[in-house]
Amino acid sequence: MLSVRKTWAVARYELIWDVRKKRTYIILGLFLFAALIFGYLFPTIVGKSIVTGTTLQGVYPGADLWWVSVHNLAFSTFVSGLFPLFIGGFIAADSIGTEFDSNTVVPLLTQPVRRAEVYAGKLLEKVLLLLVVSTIFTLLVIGGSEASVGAQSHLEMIPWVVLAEFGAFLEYTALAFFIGSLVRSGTTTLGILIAVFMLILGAVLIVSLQTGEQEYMFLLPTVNADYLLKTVFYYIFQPFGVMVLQGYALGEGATLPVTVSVVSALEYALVGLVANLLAPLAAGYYFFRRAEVK
Amino acid sequence: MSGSAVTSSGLALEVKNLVKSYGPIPGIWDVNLAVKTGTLHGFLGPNGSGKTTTVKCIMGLLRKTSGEIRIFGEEPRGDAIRLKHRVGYLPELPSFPRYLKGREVLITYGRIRGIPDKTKLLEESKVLLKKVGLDDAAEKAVGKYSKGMQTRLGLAVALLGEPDLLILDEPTEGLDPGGIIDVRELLKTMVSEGRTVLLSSHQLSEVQQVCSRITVLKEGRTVIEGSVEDLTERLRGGVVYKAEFDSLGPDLMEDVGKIDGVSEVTSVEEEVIAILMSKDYDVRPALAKSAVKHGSLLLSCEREEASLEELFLSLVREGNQTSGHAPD
Repeated sequence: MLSVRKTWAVARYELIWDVRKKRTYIILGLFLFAALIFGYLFPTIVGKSIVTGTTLQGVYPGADLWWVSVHNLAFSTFVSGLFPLFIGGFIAADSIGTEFDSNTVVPLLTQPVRRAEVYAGKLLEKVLLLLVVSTIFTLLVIGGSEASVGAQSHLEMIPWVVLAEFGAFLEYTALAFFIGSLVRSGTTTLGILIAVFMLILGAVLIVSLQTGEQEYMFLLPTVNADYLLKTVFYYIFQPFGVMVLQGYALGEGATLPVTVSVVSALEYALVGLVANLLAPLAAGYYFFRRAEVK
Repeated sequence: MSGSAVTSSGLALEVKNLVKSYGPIPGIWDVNLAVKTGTLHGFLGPNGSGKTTTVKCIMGLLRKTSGEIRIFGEEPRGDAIRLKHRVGYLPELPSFPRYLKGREVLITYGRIRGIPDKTKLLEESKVLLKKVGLDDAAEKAVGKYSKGMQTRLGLAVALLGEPDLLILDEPTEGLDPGGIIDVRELLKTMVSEGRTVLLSSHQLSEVQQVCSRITVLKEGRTVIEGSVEDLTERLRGGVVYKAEFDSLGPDLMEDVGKIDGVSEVTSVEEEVIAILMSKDYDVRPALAKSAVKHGSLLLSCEREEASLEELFLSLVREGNQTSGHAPD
C-alpha cells in the first residue's frame, strides 16, 4: 500500500526542483508566449475563411477560431509538435535520468520510502504541472482570439481541449520516465527523446509524401490526443453520426479510410490515450524498481 | 531511537560471505562484517577495496550476488521500509538537488521519511544544522555549498529521525581539520547515546581515533576483523624490509611469504618487494636462501622505518601480494 503522505512529499520535492530550474522557465515561457501570439495572430492573419473553408469545416463542423488555433498550435504542425516534446519530455528528463546522473537519487532511495512512492510522487507532480500548463495555454489562446476577433463561443469545450493537450504532453513525460529509468542519465534521455521524435517525424514525412496526407503529425505521441480532440468535436455536434478515421499500412503507400461511429471513435481515442500512457509508464516503473545505483 | 536497538545476537549489522559481481567482474567476493550494537565500528580499506560496494549492498542501492545481510537481526527485503527507519546513511560525496536550500533539504527528506509533525520537523532541522555547523548556511542553495559543506549536510540528513544505526561512508572527505574534529566528537556523542555507527574510511588514523573495533577489507575480501588495539599492536610489532633481486618470479615471492614472521609481501618495482614482518625476526638469511633456491640473487635488503599508517598501507596495498599467514 502506497503512503499518500510520502508520495505527496516526493511530489513536493519534485515541484521545488521544477519551479527552480531555468529550463522550465525557458520552455514554458516560450510556449505560453507562442500560445498568446498564435491565439491572437492566427485569426487576424487567416481570418474567418479558414474556419468556413471546406477542409476544416469538414474536420471540425461548427468550429470556432480558438479551437482551430489550439489544434494548429498544439498538434498539427512540425513546430507546434515540438512543444509537447519540450514540455512533456524535456522537463521530465530530469525526473528520473538526472537523479541518477547527479547521484541525488542516493539520499532519496535510502530514505524509508518505497520506490513505487518515489515514482508515483514524481508522476503526480508532472500530472499537476501539465494540467496547470494546459489550462493556462487554453485560456491564453482563447484570450488571444477574443482580443483579435471578438467573443469566442463553445467554451464548454475547454475541459476536453485541456484533456487533449494534457494527454499529448503526458505521453512525452511517460516516454521520458521510461527512457530515464532504462538509461539512468538525463542527457541520454534528452538525446533519445529527440531521436525518437526525429525518427517518427521522418517516417511521417515519408507517409505524407507517399499519400499526400497533410496532417503529418499523425504518428507522433500526440496522435491519440489529436484524435481525442477531433472526436470530441464530432461528439458534441453529431453524437450519433459517423466519422472517418485515416489509417496507414506501412508499405501500402496509401491511407485507408475507416468509417466508425462517433461514439466508437471517442472510445478508441480515450483507450488509445490511456494505453499510450500506461505502456511506457509501466515499463519505466519496472526498470526504476530494478535500477542499481553504482 | 525507534524499536529495540539490541538483538539476541547483540549485533546491529551482520554481513556474511557477501559477494557482488558486475557480470564477470567481481566487485566484492567475500565480505564479512559484524557490528555490535552501541559501538563505533571502523570499516577500513584502501580505495577500491570494496567498502562502498558493501555499504551500497547494505543500503539496497546494489543487489547482492550472494551472501547474507542482517540489520538488527532482520534480512532487508524489498524496500525494507521498517529497517530504513532505523538506519541513517551518509554516502561518499553526498549530492542533493542544487536548487534546494540547506534547511529545505532537511525538511524535504524529513517529509519523505514520513516525519508527520511540521513543528517537530522544523525544530529537528534547526538542531541538526547547528549540530553539523551549517546553521549559518541554512538559507543558502546547496549548489553554492563547498564539498565539505555538502558532507556536513549529508551527515545532518543521515541523522534525521534519530536512527539507531548510522552508516557513514568517508564522512570526513572534503572537511577542513576543524570539521574533522567536529565529526569525531559528533560520532562519539552518537555512540554515548546508545547508537551504533559504521564508519567506512581509507584512513587508519581516522578510524584509530574513534573506533573500538574494525574490519579491514582488501581487494573485496575481509582480511582483518578485531579490535583496533589488536591491529595497532600487530602493526607496531612489525617492520618493513625492501629487498631487490636480480630476477623475481611468482614462485620466489610465494616462498618469501612462507618465511617465519613474514605477514605480507608486496611487489613495489619490477625486481623489488616490500616485506612486512615481525621485528623479532631477521629476514635476510632466509631471503638469500630463497633467492638461490629459485636461481636468483639477493642484491640488497634494507630495513625501513615506517609510520603506523605506512605499515597499514603496506598490509593492504593493492598490487601483487602474497599473505604470509592468515590474519587474526
